[in-house]
Amino acid sequence: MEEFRNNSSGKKEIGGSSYRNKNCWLVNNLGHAPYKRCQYCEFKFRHCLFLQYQVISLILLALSFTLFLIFEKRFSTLAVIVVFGLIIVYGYFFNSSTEKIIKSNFTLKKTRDTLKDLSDNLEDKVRDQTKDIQEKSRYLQELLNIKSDFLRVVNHQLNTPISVVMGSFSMMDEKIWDTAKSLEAIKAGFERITQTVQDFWDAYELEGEKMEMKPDQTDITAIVEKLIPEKQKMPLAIQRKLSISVNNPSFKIPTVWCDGKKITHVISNLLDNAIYYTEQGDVTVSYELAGGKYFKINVTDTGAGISAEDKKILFQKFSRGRGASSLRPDGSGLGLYISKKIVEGNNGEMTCTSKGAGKGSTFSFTVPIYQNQQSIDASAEPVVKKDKIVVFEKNNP
Amino acid sequence: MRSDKGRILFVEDEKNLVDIYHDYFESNGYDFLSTKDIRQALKVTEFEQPDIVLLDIIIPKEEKGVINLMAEQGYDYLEVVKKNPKTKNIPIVVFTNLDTDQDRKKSEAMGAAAYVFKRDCSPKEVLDTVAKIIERHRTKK
Repeated sequence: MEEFRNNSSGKKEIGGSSYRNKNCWLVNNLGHAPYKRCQYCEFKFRHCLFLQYQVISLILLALSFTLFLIFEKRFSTLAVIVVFGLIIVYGYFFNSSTEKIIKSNFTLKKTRDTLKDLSDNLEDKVRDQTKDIQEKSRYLQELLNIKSDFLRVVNHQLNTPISVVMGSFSMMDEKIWDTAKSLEAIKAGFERITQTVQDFWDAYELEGEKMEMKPDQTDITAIVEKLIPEKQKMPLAIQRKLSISVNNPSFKIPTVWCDGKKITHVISNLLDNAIYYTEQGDVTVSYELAGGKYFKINVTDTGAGISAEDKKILFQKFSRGRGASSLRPDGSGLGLYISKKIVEGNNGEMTCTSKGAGKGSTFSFTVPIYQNQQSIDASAEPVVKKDKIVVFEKNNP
Repeated sequence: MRSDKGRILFVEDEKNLVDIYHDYFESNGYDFLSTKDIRQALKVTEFEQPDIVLLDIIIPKEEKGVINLMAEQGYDYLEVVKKNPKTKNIPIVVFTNLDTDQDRKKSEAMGAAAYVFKRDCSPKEVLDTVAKIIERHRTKK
C-alpha cells in the first residue's frame, strides 16, 4: 500500500507517483491506493480489477467450503490450506497480469494523446504560419501599390512643370513670346518644381516619422517680420493689391520653444495659401496667448473661405477642397498636411475656422511658450542652419 | 470663322501649358479651343466638331467632396467620345506627362490616334504631329 496524499514529489498527471484517480471511490475517499497500478488507472471503483479479484476470491472460498460441507460434512485442515493456497497463487498471477493490462492501456493512451497533441500543434502551427505569411504578403503588396502610385504621382507632378519650362523655352526660341513673358513662365515652372520636390521630401520624412525637430528658443515675430516683405513681393499679391500685415498685440510677446526653421515653413505656407485663395482684401497675422503655456499664431484672410465639408479633408494628404483647384491649380495637396505634422511635432495644434465659403478663413496654430526648465532638456540641440554649399576640402587637394 | 488649317480642342488643366499651346497654335493659324472640364469638353467635341483633340489624361476631379489630383479623367473622355457615333471619327491625341507602357497600350486600345509624352516634346513637334494626323484624316475622308 502506498500513501498517496503525503507524496508531493512526482507528477500529478496519470502515471505520476502522486497521481490520484478521482474516479475511484476507494482512492478518492480513503486516500489510499491499494496497488501500485493505481497510479496508471482511471477506472471507477466498481470496474477496479483488484475489487473484482477480491469478490471472485470470496465467491470461490464460499463455494469451496460449501462443497466440502456437502461431501465431507466437515472442514479438514488440509482442505482449508489447499483452498487458501490456490486463492493466493491465483491472486498473484491475476495481480501481475492485470497490472500489465492497466500499464499497457496507459502507455497506449499516453502515446495516442502525444500524437494527437503533436498533430494538433502541427496543424495549428501551419495554420498560424500560413496566416502570417498571407498577412505579410498582403502588406507587401499594399506597400508595392503605394510605391507605384507614389512614383506615378511624383512622375506626373514633376513632368508637368518641366513641360511648362521646356515649352516656354520653345516659345522664346521661336519668338512667339517675348523674353520677359517666357522668363516669367519659366520661373513659375521652376518654382513649382522646387516646391513639389520639397513637398514630396517632407511628406516622405513625415511618413517615416523621420522629420527631426530641433527645438530652441524662438522669436516668432522675427520670423513673421522677415516673411511678410517677401510675401508682399509675390506677383500675385501685387497683382491683387493685397494688404499683408501684422497686428501687434498689447501684451509682451513671449519667446516660444520650437524648431524655428520648420515653423518658418509653416507660417510661409499659411501666408502663401492666404494669398492664393484671396482675390481681394487683406491677409493679417495676429497673436494670442492660449492659456499660460501656449502661444497662438493666426493667419486671417478675406478670401475664398472654407465650406464645412472641405474642413474635414483640409489636412489630409493629396486632397484639396472644392474651391482650391480653381484658385490654385498647381497645389500639390501636401502643404497643409505637412504644416499640421510640423506643428504637432512641436507639441502644438493646428486649427482652421471659417464662416463658410466666400467669407474668409483663419488658420491658427499653437506653439509652447519657452519655460526656463526646457533649456535643461538634453535631447534638444540648437538649430544649425544647413549650408547651401559645402566644399569638401579633403576632396580638393 | 473656322481656320483652314484646322480646329484643335485642347483638354488640359495646367493653365501655363494652355497659354503656351494657345499662343503657339494660334500664331500658326490654327483655331484653338481649350477646357479643363471633361463634361464641357464632351459637349464641345460633339457640337464644334474639332479636327483633332489633344487630350491630357490626369485631370483633377472631385470625388465625394475630395479633389483627386490623379484622376484619370482623360480615359473617361476617350471612352465616351469613341462610343458616340457623332464623335468617334475625330482623331484623339493623348497628350500626357505619364510615361508608361501601360498608359501607351491603354491609349492605343481605347482608340487614341497618337500618344505624345508632353515633357519631351516641343510645341513644334506637337504641331507637326497634329498637322500630319489632320492631313491623313482629311485625305481619308
